Amino acid sequence: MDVAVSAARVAIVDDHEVVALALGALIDAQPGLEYAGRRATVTELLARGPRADLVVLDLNLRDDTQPAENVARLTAWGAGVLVVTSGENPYLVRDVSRSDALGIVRKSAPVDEIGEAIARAARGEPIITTEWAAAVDADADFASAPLTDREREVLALYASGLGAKAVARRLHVSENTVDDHIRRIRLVYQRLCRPANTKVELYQRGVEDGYLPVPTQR
Amino acid sequence: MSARAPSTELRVARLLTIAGGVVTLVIIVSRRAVVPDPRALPWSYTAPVLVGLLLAVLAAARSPWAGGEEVRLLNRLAVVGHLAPLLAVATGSATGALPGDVTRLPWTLSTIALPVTGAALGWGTTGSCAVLAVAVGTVRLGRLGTGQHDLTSTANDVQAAATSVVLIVLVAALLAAARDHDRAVAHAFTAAERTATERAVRAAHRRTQALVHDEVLATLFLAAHGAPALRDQIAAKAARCRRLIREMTATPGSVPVPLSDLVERLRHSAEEVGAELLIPAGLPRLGLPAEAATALAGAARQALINSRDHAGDGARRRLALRAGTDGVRIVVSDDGVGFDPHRVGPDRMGVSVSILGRMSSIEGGDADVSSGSGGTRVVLAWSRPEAESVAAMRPAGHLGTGLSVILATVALTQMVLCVLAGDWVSYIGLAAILVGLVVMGWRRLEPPTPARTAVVLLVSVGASVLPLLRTPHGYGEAWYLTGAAFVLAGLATRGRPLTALAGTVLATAVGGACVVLRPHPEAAATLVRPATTAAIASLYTLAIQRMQRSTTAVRGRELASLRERAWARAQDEELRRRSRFLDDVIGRTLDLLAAGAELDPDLRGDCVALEGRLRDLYRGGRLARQPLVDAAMAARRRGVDVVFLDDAPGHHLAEDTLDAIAHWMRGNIDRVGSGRFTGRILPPGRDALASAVTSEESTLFRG
Repeated sequence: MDVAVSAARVAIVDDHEVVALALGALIDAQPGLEYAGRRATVTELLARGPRADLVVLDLNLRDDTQPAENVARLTAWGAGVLVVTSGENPYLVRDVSRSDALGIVRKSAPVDEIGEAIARAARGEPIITTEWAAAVDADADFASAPLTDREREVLALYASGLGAKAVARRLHVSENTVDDHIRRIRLVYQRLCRPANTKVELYQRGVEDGYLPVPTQR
Repeated sequence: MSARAPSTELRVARLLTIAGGVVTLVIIVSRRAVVPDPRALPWSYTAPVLVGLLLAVLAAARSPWAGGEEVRLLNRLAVVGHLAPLLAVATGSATGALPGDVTRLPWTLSTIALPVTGAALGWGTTGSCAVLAVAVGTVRLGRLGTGQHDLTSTANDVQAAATSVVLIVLVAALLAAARDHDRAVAHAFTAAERTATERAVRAAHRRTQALVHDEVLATLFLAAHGAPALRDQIAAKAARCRRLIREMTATPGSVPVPLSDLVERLRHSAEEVGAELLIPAGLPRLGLPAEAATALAGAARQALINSRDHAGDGARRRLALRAGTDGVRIVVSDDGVGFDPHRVGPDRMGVSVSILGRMSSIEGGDADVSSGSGGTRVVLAWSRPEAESVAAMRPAGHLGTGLSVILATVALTQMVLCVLAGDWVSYIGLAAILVGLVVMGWRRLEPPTPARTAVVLLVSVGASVLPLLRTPHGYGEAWYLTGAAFVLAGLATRGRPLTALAGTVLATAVGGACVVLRPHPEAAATLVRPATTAAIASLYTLAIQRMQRSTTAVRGRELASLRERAWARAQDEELRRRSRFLDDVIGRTLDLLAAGAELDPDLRGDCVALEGRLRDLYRGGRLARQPLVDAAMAARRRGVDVVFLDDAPGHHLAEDTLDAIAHWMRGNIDRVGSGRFTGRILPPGRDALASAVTSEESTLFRG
């Protein structure tokens, strides 16, 4: 995503007005961010605006939409998406983890942590949190994914609550190396766990991810 | 709680007692017509005989109100009432104490099938076999004394003994089937109660979860992080939470809500979104469980709101209601923009909780959402839990070797009588009886096919014309008529009682015509005994069938009512428990917020801590336990961001292990002064069971 030169506009999609009241104030308090407004649903935002560079999306909207579908519509609209959650339902977190959302943040995290996450997401940076890592690490479908031992270690440490710095310290590597590992883990998760609607797609995924041999012509 | 209907075993025992009494009464009334005996017993013998027999009638009269033990006692008395005079007469006859001109044992006493059946009900199969032996011995003793060695007496006694054996087997099978049915019903009741309770608890959990997620967490979040200027909004939200928590238990399932109340709420919701309301005139005066009324009204409102928000401008929507005594059906439809209902995942809180979840959380509730290019249609239905099907009693399954005993007894006794009679007409009669027994087909105890039934009818009715071929034909010579009646009785008990009854009437009519053509002093006996045997078997079967149907219906109603009560009780208890829990945990804080208290750091700290505590109930899973809960609350108040993750939810861990993890983790939390603490139960297959991670250190629990 392009990094906004001027103040990045951030909109909220949440059906709880009170949550938006608190988050809106938090956004306005961040330098370089501008709170653009709230809508109760993604459909409403897309139809009526306001335009936004980043959308802070509630994981658990009470309409008839799926989190991953919402993320897809918003990214197609041209906005980055940061998902906030209060229910911490790991299934929904995994659903979003397979999408192009920049990250997942707990609404109950410390205010400065939420503020920082929104600011970083507005710059297009992925947000890696314990919630994301724990949901991915505990996903039984991911247990046999083609990850290296080091990548599994990084994921497990992240999932246990350590931040990037602490993980780097623990593994005696640089923070950049940890970030590299995380990027690959995200990519593998998105590719491996995205839905396969047909047997052909399932086969293609198996080939892409190295489970199945690449077909050769004889 | 309403009284449980009598057990099937008791119902069967009562029915058989009544049947025994009715037959006895028929015998008493018709005794002179059947066998006119000019040299009757003196009154000093007759009176005790009649009194003894009347005991069976009195037992029948009393049994509908008697309990199991009393029914047994009544039957024992009836047996004694029959056997005592029989013994007295037989002994008197053997010792010569009877008047010299008495040459016959009263036939009323020789109907030994009655005391034998009574004994089966009073003492069980062994008792009835003993009574049969005593009765046969006594009757033979009596015959010895009165010098009765004629074919009529022998045929009478053999047929009575055969009837007794058949009845012993049938009664035993019926009682065993009844006991089995009682056990099956008890099992079904226990299972129904358990399932209803589990479902009710889950429904209560879903309701609470929706309330906590939708209202409480949002309010606490706002109070913890919102600007002081939002105090009024926070107060209003907190007051709403307080009310909703109170209302969780304010709708007990036992108090019915009039249908008109539901209609009013629907009318209000329809007006709110400008929907057309279609309610037929003359709705039944119906009471719904409060739970059902609340769920229907709430789900219908949600469907209307969804339609308003998503169907697009210009869409027309309407709400139609249909109600009957068996339930209520509401259809909310629009012609606007549809959506794909299959993409509404099970985890969704929107449609899934507000509409589908609401309806599935009530007993008898159902919902269906269909949507497409033509619009959206939401069907909400509640059906009153109907009489549920309970497996019927199956006596046939309990016959086992008893079936062979019945067939062997009937076949052998008829052969013996045939040999004793020794004439060619008897052989034809025996052939008819055996053909009837064989054609009925006994391998599968289902009603015989129409063709087999017709053959059975033909041979058993056809036997009635045989007396024409021989003159004279007393009861003894016409023994096969009772044998043919056994065949008709078999047809009745095999599930064709009405056909058997018709056959009985026909056979009696044919037999009557023969008597007119060839009169005989024992004519009445030759007709009455077979007719009574077949008619009683048919009526018995009809009564048993009726009882089976009524038992099944009664048990079904009981089961439905039990489910409803168990559901209401469990849901009520669970909601109370959860309401108390929420009240204990957040009641005080919500009151403060509702009163517009100043959002000082202490109160905000409380809100953060409480929000975390409620959140732990979801993602924290088994870590939401003491002493971890208190330690986490204290840490959150200190400003520590505590996160609990149970990432092995389907993996069994012993309570001791979980307690050990909680105590270990608590020690770790207590040492954290600021920053973050993440406690996690690790997914299965890892080196350790749990981890505790702070900003500075991480430790593992390996058990």
